[in-house]
Formats: sequence, structure tokens, C-alpha cells
Amino acid sequence: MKFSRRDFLKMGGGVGVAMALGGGFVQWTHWPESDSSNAPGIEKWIPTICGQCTGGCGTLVRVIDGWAVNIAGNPLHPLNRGTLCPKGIAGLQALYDPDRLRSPLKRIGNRGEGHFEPISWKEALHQVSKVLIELREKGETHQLVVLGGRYRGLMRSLWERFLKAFGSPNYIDNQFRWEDPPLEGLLLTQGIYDLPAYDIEKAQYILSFGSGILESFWSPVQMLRGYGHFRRGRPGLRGRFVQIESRLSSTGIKADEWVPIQPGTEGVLALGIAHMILKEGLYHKAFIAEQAFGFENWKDSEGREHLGFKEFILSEYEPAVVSKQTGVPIDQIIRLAREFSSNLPSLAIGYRDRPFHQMAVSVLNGLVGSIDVPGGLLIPRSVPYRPFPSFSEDTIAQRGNSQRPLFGRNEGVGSPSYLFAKNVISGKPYKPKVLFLYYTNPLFSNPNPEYFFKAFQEIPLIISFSPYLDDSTKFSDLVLPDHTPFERWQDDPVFLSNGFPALGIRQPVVSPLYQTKATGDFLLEIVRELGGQIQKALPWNEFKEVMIYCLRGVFEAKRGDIFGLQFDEAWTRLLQRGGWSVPTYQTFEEFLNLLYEKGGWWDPVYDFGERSRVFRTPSNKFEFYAQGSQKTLFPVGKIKDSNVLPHAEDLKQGETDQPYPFTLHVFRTISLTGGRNANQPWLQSMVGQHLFERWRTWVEINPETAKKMSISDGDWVWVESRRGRIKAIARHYKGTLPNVVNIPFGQGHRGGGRWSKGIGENPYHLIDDHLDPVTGFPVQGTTKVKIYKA
Amino acid sequence: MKRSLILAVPLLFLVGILLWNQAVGVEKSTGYVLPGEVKEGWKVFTTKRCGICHSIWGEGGKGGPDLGPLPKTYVSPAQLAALMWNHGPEMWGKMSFQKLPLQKMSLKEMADLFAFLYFIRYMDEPGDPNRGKAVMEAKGCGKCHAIQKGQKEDLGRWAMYINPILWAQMMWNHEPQMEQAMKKKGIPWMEFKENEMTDLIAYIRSLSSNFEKIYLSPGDPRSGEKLFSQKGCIVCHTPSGELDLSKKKDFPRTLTQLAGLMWNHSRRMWKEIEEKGLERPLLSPQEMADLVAFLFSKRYFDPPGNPLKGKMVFNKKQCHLCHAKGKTLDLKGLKGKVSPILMAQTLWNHGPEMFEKMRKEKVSWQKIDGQEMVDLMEYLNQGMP
Repeated sequence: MKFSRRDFLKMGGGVGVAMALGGGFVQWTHWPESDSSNAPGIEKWIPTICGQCTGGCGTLVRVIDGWAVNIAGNPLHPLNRGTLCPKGIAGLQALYDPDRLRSPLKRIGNRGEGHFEPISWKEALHQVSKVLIELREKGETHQLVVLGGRYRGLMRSLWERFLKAFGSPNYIDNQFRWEDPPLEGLLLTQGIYDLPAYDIEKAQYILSFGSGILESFWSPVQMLRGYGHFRRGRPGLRGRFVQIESRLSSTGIKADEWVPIQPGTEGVLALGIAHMILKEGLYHKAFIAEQAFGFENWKDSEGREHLGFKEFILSEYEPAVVSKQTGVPIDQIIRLAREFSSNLPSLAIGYRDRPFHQMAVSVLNGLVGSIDVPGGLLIPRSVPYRPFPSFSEDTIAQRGNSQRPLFGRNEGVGSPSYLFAKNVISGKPYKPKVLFLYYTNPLFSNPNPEYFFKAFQEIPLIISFSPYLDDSTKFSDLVLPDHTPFERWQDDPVFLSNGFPALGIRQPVVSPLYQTKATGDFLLEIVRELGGQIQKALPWNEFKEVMIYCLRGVFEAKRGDIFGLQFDEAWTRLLQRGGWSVPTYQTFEEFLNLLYEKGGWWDPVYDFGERSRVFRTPSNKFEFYAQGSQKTLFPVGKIKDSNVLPHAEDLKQGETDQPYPFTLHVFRTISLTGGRNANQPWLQSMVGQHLFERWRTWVEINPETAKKMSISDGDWVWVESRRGRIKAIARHYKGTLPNVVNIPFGQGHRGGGRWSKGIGENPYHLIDDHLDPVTGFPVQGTTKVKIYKA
Repeated sequence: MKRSLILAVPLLFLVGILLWNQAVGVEKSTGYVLPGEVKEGWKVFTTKRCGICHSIWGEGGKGGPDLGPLPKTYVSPAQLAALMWNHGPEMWGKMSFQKLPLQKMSLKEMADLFAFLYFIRYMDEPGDPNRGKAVMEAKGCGKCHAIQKGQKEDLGRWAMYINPILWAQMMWNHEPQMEQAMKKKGIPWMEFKENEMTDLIAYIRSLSSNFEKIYLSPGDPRSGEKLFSQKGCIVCHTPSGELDLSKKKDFPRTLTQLAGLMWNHSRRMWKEIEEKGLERPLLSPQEMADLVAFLFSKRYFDPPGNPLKGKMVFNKKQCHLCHAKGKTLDLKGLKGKVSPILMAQTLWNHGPEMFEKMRKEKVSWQKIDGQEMVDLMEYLNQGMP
């Protein structure tokens, strides 16, 4: 048998995976003898962007004879500067997953059974175009829905433009995570509904309210690097980090102090801390005087008196009251307030709790003036893409776009995906006919996935673009597999913790292994089939052309530069501060070539003091009284002052303690942060490092509680809520409150291949459907469970 | 290689200034060393760890002075060398305390460092928006310029212009219209002092951030020189004439100060242009950048010194105790080679040793001013006659 070097490498791609599996290694040891010499192959290191999570780290992929064989961090990418997390290193396992989809598929059995037959791309294009043309002919364009997940950049703009030209108002975000930064808090206080930057490198004191910034943040590597600098990067200055949460997470373990607290009451503690800062007069008076609104009682334009933040907090959140709710001792509340306000710059970081709990954390930053200052909360500028050319919608599109969207009233706020599911089930205002799933797996990644199963059953045609047969793809009718991140072009605009915008370029490092197609390219093919105004709106042949079109804006902005060493960073910043532009390129072609060669572009400047960028509230100030919320969150009826001031929200713990005595806390680990990496054996093998757990789901119980219940460490137990039960290994963990149990998220898939399907359990099946009225997302810390031996 | 070329080319603003001056300046005849490159100077600043003690506009160490905003007046290379000389003992003491080893510098590195320090000093330090707001109110700008979105005269739109040269250009071109409008409204003519313009720009920049900022490519002093003639500037500002800008003692130190100065004098200038029947010279942003590059370039080098005075300095400062003719450390060999950069380099590399010897000989460290340094250099360049 002849065996070429190419064949060898083709198999070799799976060696890493096979080695990780142990058992799989044996079959690779029976390689046939090669009849060619073992000459060294042609090696290249190609810069690209990691696609394992939302972090946006720059990587260098070692490619030999066209096969990716290793991954390292790109030392020029300012976000990770050559470092990577375990997910990044395991990236090749996503590329070489033996269960990857290899061509377009068409369902042949019942929905959800997972029976498909391969079809050609031509056939796939024909089928999709036919359906879309029908929608256009019948004037039902609004019944096309795109459900998009967690990704960034121009692909999102492309979807939105496509829908606008086609005639549907239904692009729906399915990317809410409790672990995200407090977006609603930022909206209420600063009028911005986007991710802020936390300048942790320059902070002196950090109060983290349940934020897993060192493990499950949107960009964990960046945060870990920043944390290293915060603790050891400044001679003579070691920042202090306090972690407030119900479970001792990896972040908590690294902190100087862990403050155990009842789940869901972190925001209440923030109110108690605010109370003490106000009471002792420790707030930043200049910031409050010049840049804040609603701190004191105030009168509106009609002369009506309104309650201000100070009076409200002083009257409602005495430490004794807060201590009772949170379980945090009064002395500790007082000490934290003093430490936070006297070690400036200090930062309060929260999670995506209920909106006014988020606001409670956000106002702490306002109280100490840590807004738009070094070491504080920053509002990054965006990457200056060239906007798409203008176009006019045809009459069909106009009619479709004028229909009510399917994601409810709070447009752009919260998690429209739940409202979408609710509307689909009720059929009001209408039912969708076609659903596109792009970069999302709602049947796995949302609490209470059954809700989405129910909604999906109502939709006649579901098309998934996933490269894997994940839970939602398995439930689809047509599967049009995208390339993996190592096989496609994509832009990745991010920002750094110091607010600098950066643009990473994801480029193909290998030729596509299978008959897959970049979704952007396929979408443009559909556009050509549809023709007319739609084609005029999207006149490109492939996604790379779209990217290049928009990148011209970055080139012409005459700011920033190609990724470089830290020395270059300071130089560029120095020049730009003086108003000079001296980039390393002169022509657009040079710019593009350097972009691909170095991995991206960035602008190492943060402009402090641009108030209109930082405060987009009605007052153009930091709002302790959320004036803007009336329009965005409470559009109907009059509201009480106390409703728009930060306040303790009802936890809605609907169950009595008797049948379900424990509060369920779901957490994420660094290896399976997004649940999208469960098909990678290396990550499954290290999912619970602190307890040496792997390849299964465990439930953390306080050792004393477990002892009382006669549950030993390692026993199989059932964890049961009102919604259902899952089986897990009981693990005694001291970092657990006596009345709380913790279960990791990331396992328990119903699809996704051999290393994902049926491994462990998904705790989201236990979550109650107490939806927050503002965000439309289930409320963290409200699900009660009981435990018993299996 | 390509990258370094690309990097080098656009830095015309200073590099161009320096090389150009090297060709035309008085110093050429005295054999001054080639002035350095700005970016390389920044590299020296970082690799030689100057940033441990010195910051640039607040970024860097706090042990020594911030080299961005200081000093307040224009500093020539000889003055800079003199400053380094005067503060040498204090610097070495602080370095010793911080256990920072003395890192020797080559002549090229010192030249680069000088280029860098010259460059940053004429860029402006960040302004203070609060002071800028006060300036805006005090000067009555608000009477014509609203700070409201959507209004024609909204100054918030100007937030995009972050390079002060753009301000200078726009204010220069629109001065006649502004003057008329001010007259109509009975607003007295106002002038900007010191950093008032910088603060005003900082304030306006803080008002709006909805526009992409506009940056400028560095100017070319050669083009600036041509423009200086083409636009008729040379008619009034004749070289060696009364209004020769290179001799102006209060020539602004920074670009924004220059913008302010142009505004302050624009009324008079426009009047004189009219009286002389000249055409009003309007300038594009890049033309203004080129012109400014030319004007700053004329000020880079020190005027020649006086060797006789230099000899007096040599003796007064007790240099002769070690460096007299015939002694081991005879400086006669430096004939024709001395420049501020050489002086600074020698001081940096041998200063601690000199200081120690002087301490042992009970000779106190002699301070020197800029003019004394110029004369001393001339004396050494002439071979210590």
C-alpha cells in the first residue's frame, strides 16, 4: 500500500485528538510503511484569531504541508500577547473532530431523530432560494427569522443588511449569559448598551460581585493578563481583589478575600456598601458635582419633586437590613465600603444579574468617580469600518420590515430570544416560517431548553449553519455546515481592558477539510439568486470582499497601526496624542498585507473626557436616577422614583423550602465556558480541575450538609427541581454555602458528536422559568432543588 | 526592512527638520554630528530605562520630572545639554538609590534621544477641559459659537480636529469672517495666552465624540520653505529682517501655542497684507503642516558661540583643572567635533566618574547655562585657542 506524506499528515491531524483519548492511539500505531523519504515538510506559522470562545485571542497556527499541527499565541496581538488559555491550545480538536459535518444535509427522518442525507451545495442553494422566493412572492418576508449567537464583526452587519433588503425585522440575539458584564446596569447609568472595558491593570482595588472574570468572562485570557499586572506588574503596588459570590470559584480562589453571600443578593450588598459610603461622606464629590445626575433630590421641568439616590439609599439600606438579606456581617460591609472608597482607583464589577442589582453595582463606580478614568470603567471606541453603501428597500421589503418584530417590546434590551420563543408558541403576532440558526445552539445553551424545543416545533423550516450536529442542528431540517474558524475569513473587532480598539483578522490556515462553505459566502450566493434590490444592497461575491470593502474605513481613518511590539504601541500613542498619524503602511494594499501578516490592527489610544461618548443618558451625565430607563424599560405608564433608583429586586423564590431546600447555582468553568467546546476531549479531561473531575457532571455540596444527609464524596445523586431531575456525582466542596448546590454548565449535550453527546448533564434543564420582566431572561439564583441518592 | 523604511519616511516632520537643517544650518560648517531619528530616540528612552524615572505626559516613572511639559520655554540642544549637566549629580544619585545601572550611550543614541526630546516638547501636553471651558466663557466664544448639536456654528463639530495645526489653519483662513462677525456683535478682539488654546481644544474635544477624529501626516519642512516664499510670508518675514521668525525670542514652544500666536497676530497680518496689496494666502491643512515644520526647523540649532567667552567659561567653571592643554585629559583633540549631543553623551557616559574625581579634589559641580554651553562648545571646536 502506498502512503504519501500528505496521507500521513491527513491522519496525523487526528493524532493529538487520538492521544488525548488514549484508547484512540492504538489504531494510529498500525501505520503502513511509507515508500517516500521522511523529508521535512514545508512549515508556515499563520496568524489568525482563536474561535474557541468570544475572547478574540490572536494565535499563530503551525502548518506543515497544508496541515495545521500546532497552535501558539500571537505575541503581536495586544489582547493576549502570545499567551493562550487551555481552550485556545485545544483548538485543533475542533478542526479535526471526526464527527464534523462533511457536506450539506437534508433531514430524512422525524425531527430530532438525527437522520439526514447528504445533498450538494447546488441543491442546498436551490432549496433555500426557492423557499425565500416563495416568502417574497407571498409577502411573508417578515416570517424569516435569523437567530444569531455570540460572534462579532461584519458577519452580523451582513445578516442585518440581508434581512433589511429581504424584508424581515427579525434578527434575534440569542446570547444572554449570566456571566456577562452588567449591560443593563451600564444602560441605566450611562445610557450605553454595550460591553464596557474594565481597566483592571491600573486599578488598585476591585470588588467583584459574582463576576467570574478570571474564568468565564468574555475574554478570560485578557483578564488573566490584566490580573497578573494588577497584582505583580507594578513595583511596590499590589492591587487588592475581593470576590463576592455564593460559590468559591477559581476567581475567588485567586482573590485576596472571598465574601460568601446568598445567591442573587450581590446587588443588595452593593446597596449596603453604597449606604456606608454615603453615610461616611466617602464619595467622590467632584465627580458627583460635575458629572452626575439624580444624586440629590431634584425637580423636573414641570416642577415635580423627585427622590434622589442619596436620600433613598440612606433610608432603605442600613447595613443591618442588608446583612440580614445577604448573610454578610455588618462589620464586613462597613470595612468593604471604606476600603473601596479609599483605595482609588477602585472598580466594582458585576454580572448580568437583575437590572437594578446591576445598577447597584454600577453606581458604586460612580460614587468613587471610577468612570472614564485610568483604573476605572471605560467606554471603548469602535473600529472605524467603512459603512455599507446606502440602498433603498423595494416595496416587498418595506412591507416586511414594517411588521412587528417577534422579540417583544424591549427592542435591543435583554434577551429577545425568550420573548421570541414565547411569541412563537403563542403565535402572536405571527408564527415564523423559516428560521436560520447561525452560531447558536439554543436547544442547549438557554436555561429551560424545553421552552425552545416547544417553539421550534412550531416552525416549518429550520436551517442550521453549524459545522457540528449539535442539539439544535439535530432538530433542523436543512444543515449547511460552515467552515470552522481555521478555514474561513472573518473580522474580529474587540477592545482591550484599557479601552483600546483592536481588530483581529481570522484567515484560513488550511484549505477546508470537507465540503463545507463559509456562511457569509453562501448568504451572498442566495442574494445573487434573489437578485433585484437585494443584490444591489449586497453587491459582493464573497465575504472576504465585504471585509475588504469595510476595512478601507480603517485604513482611511488615519489612526492606529498594525499590531506591533509594546514599544510600537507607546510610540503610536505618543504620536496620536499630538494629532499625528504615522502608520507603518502607506497604501491600502500594504495595509491589507500587513494586516494578514501580523494578525490585525489596533489603536492604542483611549480618549478620556469625551463626555458625549461616555454618558449617553438624557442628562448627558452619570445617572444615579435612571431617567433613560423610562423610555427603554418602562415605556408605558407612570413609575415611582424608587423603581428607577438602584434597589433590591424581588428574588421570586417561588418554592417553599420544604420540598426543595437548596438553591441551585449554575456556574461555568474556563474549559467549557460557552458549552461550544464539549466536543474536544482535552477540555472534557480538565473540566473540573479543582476537584479533579472530568468527563462527567458533578454537584458541589457543602461537606457538613452532605454529612448530615449521609451523602459521601463520590456518590451518585439525583438533583431535582420542579422542572425535572438530573443525575450527577456528589462532590464535597468547602467553597459551597450550606443551603446552596453548584453544578457546572457545559455538558449534557444531545448531539455534537461522540465526545459531546450523552456526556454529563445539562443543569439548565432544572432552571425555573422566572423571567425577568426587563431582560426577558431567567433570573439567576431562584431555582430550588432537592438532592437524594441515586 | 520594508517596515522600517515605511516608518522612517513619514517622520519627516522632525527627521526632515533635522536633516534639512543639517544641510543648510550654520552648524554644518562646524561639523556638528548628524542629528538623530525621533522614533529611534523613543527606543533609546525606553530601552535605556529613562522611563523608570521620567514620564512623558504622565506616562512613566514619577522619580524625575515629566519631560513632556517641561520646561515651559523653548530649549535649544545646548540648553538641553546644559540642563543634563546641571542635574547630573542628582540623577546619578537617584539612579544609584534605585539600583539602576548606568547604561552608556553611543553618539548616535544620544542624537536620537535629543531628536525625540525635541519632538515631544513641541507637541502639546494634554489640555484641561475645565480650564478650557473657563477660557471659552472668558473670551466670549459662546456669543457666536453655540455648543449645541445641529447648529451651524456648533463648535462641538470641531472635536474631530485633534491636531492643533488644523486649528491654526482653520482660524487663519476664517479670521476675516470672524473679525467681521465680532465687530457686528460688538465683541472685542481677544488673544490667547500660553496654554489657553490647548485647554480650549481639550474642552471642545470633550464635547463631542460622534465624529471620527482627523489626524494629520507630518509636514515637510522643504515644502514649507517653498510655501513660505510662494504664499508671500517671506515679504514681511524676511530672513534677518525685523520680523525674522527664527530670531523671535517669544517664538511659541508648542504647536498649539503657535496656533494661538497666529490667531493673535492674524488681524494685524491680514491688515498688512491688504495694505501691501498682496493676495490673501489661504492654506490647506497639509500646507499649514509643512509651513509649521519649516518654522520650527529654523529654530532647532543654537546660534554660534563666542570662543573667547567660551574660554572664560572653561576657566571659570574650573574645567582647566583637569582638561588644560598638555594634561592627560587634554580636550584639544575635540577640535571641530563638539556638539551639544557630544557634550551630553560625554557627560552621560563619564559624568559619574568625573563627579567622583571632582569630589575627591574638592571641586564643586559647576552649573552652566545654555549660552555658556554654546560658548564653551565654540571654544572647544576651535581647538582651545
